[in-house]
Amino acid sequence: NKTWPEIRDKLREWRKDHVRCSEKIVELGEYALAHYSSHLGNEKWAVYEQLCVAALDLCPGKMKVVNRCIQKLAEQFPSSLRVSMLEGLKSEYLKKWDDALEMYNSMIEYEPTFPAPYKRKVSIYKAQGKIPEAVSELNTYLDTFSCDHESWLELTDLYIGQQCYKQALFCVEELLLQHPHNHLFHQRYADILHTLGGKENLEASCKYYCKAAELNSSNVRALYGVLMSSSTLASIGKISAKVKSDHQTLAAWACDMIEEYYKAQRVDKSVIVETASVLDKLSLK
Amino acid sequence: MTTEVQLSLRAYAKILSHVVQYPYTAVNGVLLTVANDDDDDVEGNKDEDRRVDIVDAVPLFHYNISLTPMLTVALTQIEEYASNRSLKIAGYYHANEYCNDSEVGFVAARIADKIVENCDEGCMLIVNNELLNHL
Repeated sequence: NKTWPEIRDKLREWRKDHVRCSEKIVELGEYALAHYSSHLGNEKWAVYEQLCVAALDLCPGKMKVVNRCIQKLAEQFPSSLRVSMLEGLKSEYLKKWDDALEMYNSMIEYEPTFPAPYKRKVSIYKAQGKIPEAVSELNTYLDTFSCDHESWLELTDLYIGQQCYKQALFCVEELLLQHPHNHLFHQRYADILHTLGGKENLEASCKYYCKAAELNSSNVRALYGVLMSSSTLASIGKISAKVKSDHQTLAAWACDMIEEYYKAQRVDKSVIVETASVLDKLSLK
Repeated sequence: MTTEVQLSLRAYAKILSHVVQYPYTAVNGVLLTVANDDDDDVEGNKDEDRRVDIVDAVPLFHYNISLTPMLTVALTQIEEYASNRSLKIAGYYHANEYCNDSEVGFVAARIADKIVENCDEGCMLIVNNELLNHL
């Protein structure tokens, strides 16, 4: 029930934003290729590639679609690296890890500047549960492709999953260097520092939570982070009255900001009351 | 003494909805049961078989689930929510990231310990990822 321009634009949008809504992509992609092949022109090859990846997500039911896409693309683009990638993905789905690794290694040898096979190797190691190998491979990749922020994020996640928080901090520092205005990265850095604990880390986490809140005042997690870190700092160790008072003022400011945020969302009154009680508890009053 | 855990349809549906909404990552959440007035009598019932009815589930995270600050905030919020509705925290659910992994991992065990230390009778549910293929 969509018009041709709507279908084309939707598929383009999903390609551009790398959206993983595989069922919709398969539905629209198959329809577009079946009914609008001439309208698509050369764009149809990009749609075949997009459809193939989405269909792999829905296998085993869509294996025929996968094979048809690979066949069409191979006919049009013989010895293409991108087509080889799709064959590698298919081997991964079939859990033929050695075949896939061999394919990716030969692609890397042939064209070391093509990033995709490195990342698929990391995915294979993850799927096999070989996290140390995945981390090692990803580190090797990032030595060369250090501007790939998605990979830094992936490495952060791998380290956090292994409770290697210091290494995770290093990864987020790289992200902060490349994207200093991204409030989520500041918040992530603060979350890891807070998890590590200890007075110095809490002080640092408080600063990063504040920065995140400054960059985006709707980041409620950052505000909660300010509240928690400053409340804890106000109550631990030997601190001067002034320092304690500063921490408490900051905590109170965070409470006010959170309450204002909830009121602005026009939530039920009971939620405001409950939130006030939660804030009291988190303020360690 | 054994404890039987009964999961309500509501809790079960919410857990599965959470898993299905984020199929590419681990997810976790908290389980709630009804708070009874005779909870203070736990000591007397220690030798009997018990049954815990999980009436609701509260989804927590689907990303970086082992970071502690937001977990603390969430648990405080859930405790407040529960106590205002005669409910209490009774356990923790966790679904691993990989479809062939239904083991109790280190992260799941650590979070479960933290949540369950404040419960009389806490339980941990791990979603059997392999069975999800049947959905």
